[in-house]
Amino acid sequence: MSKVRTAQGTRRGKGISTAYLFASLHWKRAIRSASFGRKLAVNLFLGLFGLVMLFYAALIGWMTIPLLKAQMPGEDPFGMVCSAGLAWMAVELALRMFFLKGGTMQVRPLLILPIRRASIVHYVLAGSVLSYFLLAVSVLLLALGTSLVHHGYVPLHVTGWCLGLLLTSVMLGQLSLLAARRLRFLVAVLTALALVSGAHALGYMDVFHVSRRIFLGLYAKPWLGLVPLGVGALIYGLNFRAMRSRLYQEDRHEQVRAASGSGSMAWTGIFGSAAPFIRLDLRMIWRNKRPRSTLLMSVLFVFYGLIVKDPGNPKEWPMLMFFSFFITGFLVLNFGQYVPAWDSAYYPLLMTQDCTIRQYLRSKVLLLRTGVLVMSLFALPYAVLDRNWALPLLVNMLYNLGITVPMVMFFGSFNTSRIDLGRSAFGNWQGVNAGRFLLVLLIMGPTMAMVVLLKTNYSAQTAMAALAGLGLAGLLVQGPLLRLIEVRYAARKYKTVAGFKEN
Amino acid sequence: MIEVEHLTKQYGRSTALDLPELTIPDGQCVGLVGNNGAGKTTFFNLLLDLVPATTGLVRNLGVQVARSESWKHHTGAYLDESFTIGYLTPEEYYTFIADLRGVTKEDLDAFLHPFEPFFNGEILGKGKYLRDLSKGNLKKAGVVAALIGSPKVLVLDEPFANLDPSSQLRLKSILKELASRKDITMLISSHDLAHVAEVCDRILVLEKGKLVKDLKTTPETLAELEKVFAPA
Repeated sequence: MSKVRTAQGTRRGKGISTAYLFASLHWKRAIRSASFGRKLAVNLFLGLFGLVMLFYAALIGWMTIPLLKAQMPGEDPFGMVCSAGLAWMAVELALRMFFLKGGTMQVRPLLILPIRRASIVHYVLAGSVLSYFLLAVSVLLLALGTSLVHHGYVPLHVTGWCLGLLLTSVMLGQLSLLAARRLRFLVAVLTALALVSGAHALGYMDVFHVSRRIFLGLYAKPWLGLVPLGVGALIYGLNFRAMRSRLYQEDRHEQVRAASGSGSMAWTGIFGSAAPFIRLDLRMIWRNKRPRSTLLMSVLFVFYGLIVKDPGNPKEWPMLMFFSFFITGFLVLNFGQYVPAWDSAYYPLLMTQDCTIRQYLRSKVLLLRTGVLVMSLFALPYAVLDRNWALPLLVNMLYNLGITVPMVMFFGSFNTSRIDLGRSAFGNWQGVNAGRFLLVLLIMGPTMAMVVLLKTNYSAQTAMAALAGLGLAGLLVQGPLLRLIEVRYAARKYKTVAGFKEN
Repeated sequence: MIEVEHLTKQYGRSTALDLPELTIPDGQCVGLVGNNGAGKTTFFNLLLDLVPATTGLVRNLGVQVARSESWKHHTGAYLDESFTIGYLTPEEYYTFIADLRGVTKEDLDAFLHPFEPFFNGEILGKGKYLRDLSKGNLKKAGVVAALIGSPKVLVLDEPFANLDPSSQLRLKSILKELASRKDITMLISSHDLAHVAEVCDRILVLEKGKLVKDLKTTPETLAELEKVFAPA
């Protein structure tokens, strides 16, 4: 009898402790994960980076008004800040959508426990409000607000204005979540952005003028800050509904019948002993959401090159090199860093099958190199339309083939987090997190630094020759390079198997 | 021949497995029984070099598994779902493994044909991905995959669990037939004492990581096993 009573007692106190329970689950999942050490190192670095950024945010907030006053004596500095408001909103929205990590909680085991579905969803959503962005924006606004008061603006109105902007930021966060969750909202947001910037470009409206009126209005009537609060609450409600209905499907795979089939892919025979793995990889890509969207994203990167307006201008040459590197190499960076994690669900099978790690790695290298070649093929129109593109594209292709591919494979072996292939739909940017960019930075940073150094000290030709030379050298010594990676994979085998087992 | 020398596996301070010595001659069919936590799966993971041993070693037909990869050539195994590839159809999955093991398309078809009654029309030709199969059907598909390429050593973890009664009986006769050929060394773990007593020549009872009984199968074995596991 007494046991039953205790159970009821606990249940009564549940309302208060649910949030605590969820938070402690999150915490345990993080510190008990196999990749905890690596994540800790990455997080320490990011934390430091974050602190520096906060410092800059405070500095910008504090210095804006005095700087504007000094640079443009005739203008109203606060009015100019207000003019930039809408543009800032667009930038913040874009940043948030790019860096967004969706609420990822393993909800399935919780669904049958006596916890209301609503509180699970509220926890995940509320958690997403408290983000680094909000902190940075708060610091910026605090500094800006203090500076405004310091320059004689009315404290009460400044407070209202700052709060209104903070609420706008929260609203944008909710909007980015919604856009990531529902395709039609993503389309709506992008269309709205395109329409507004189009109207501005064509002279139908002046975004800066509109922005100035809106945000000066907010200063005059601080209660207008309730508008973003209301809109934010509305979007939160939409998010809530979208997520709650998804709660049922969280762990479901895409239910596609294989009936259509894809043939025996006999043509892959040209890859020799790597052919079975190549076939496996191709099927993995086509039949699972996550790798498919990764691939799509990488291919869309080809259009990045359109940013370069005048390829013939020597001043644009660094841009040309940068984009050439990205266009020919993004697929490898984006896809390759999840080798071997793409195979995490059946890694024990691969490790006990009649194949050596070397065979497995060789097939991956082949796949990634094919990726570089295909992307280069996609980029060919640039070179055809403007021959200034030709050399940068060619040398970067060589460099990516010879150096980036083995480097990505090497760093990929550090990744021991399991990937759920079926989890990611279009517009879900989960996984596009800062840690991943760190790796891209690690590979790109030295390359670009070398290019810039050679260009400033010698010439653009030297820099390009160096890249091409390195790439060719990488291709020539690919045997020893591969052996190095092989040793690395063999040494990491048990850790990888154990890490991939975790959910 | 499978040889074990001073093999231990520790997780933190707890010992998951402690096998000072064990030899399994070629062609023997060995059943591993024991309650949860007895160390059966740990032993299989060590045998397949999926976890590192704390001390000691395992030799699979003379190959020290943690040192060389060549044991993979003659070993087939099915431990759990991580030995299947969810986004493939069963046919593609079998072809993948046959490719790795150097088995031709014709030989694969000839190999799969006798398993049709076991599959009961639910595995092949359904146009379903493995991830959409039920647990029992997935296990059937995986166990058969472990047999591709006539391995000399076969490792199966709980092959009877999740199978429907007809499939259990069919699998039992398949395994018995294999065991009678005496050219394959089999290690099978199970919670079903009657099944292993029927299929295997030798039964090892593990308890908390230690080998507590090593029995040659006789008509009395089942009764003896039941005594071991019966609550005092």
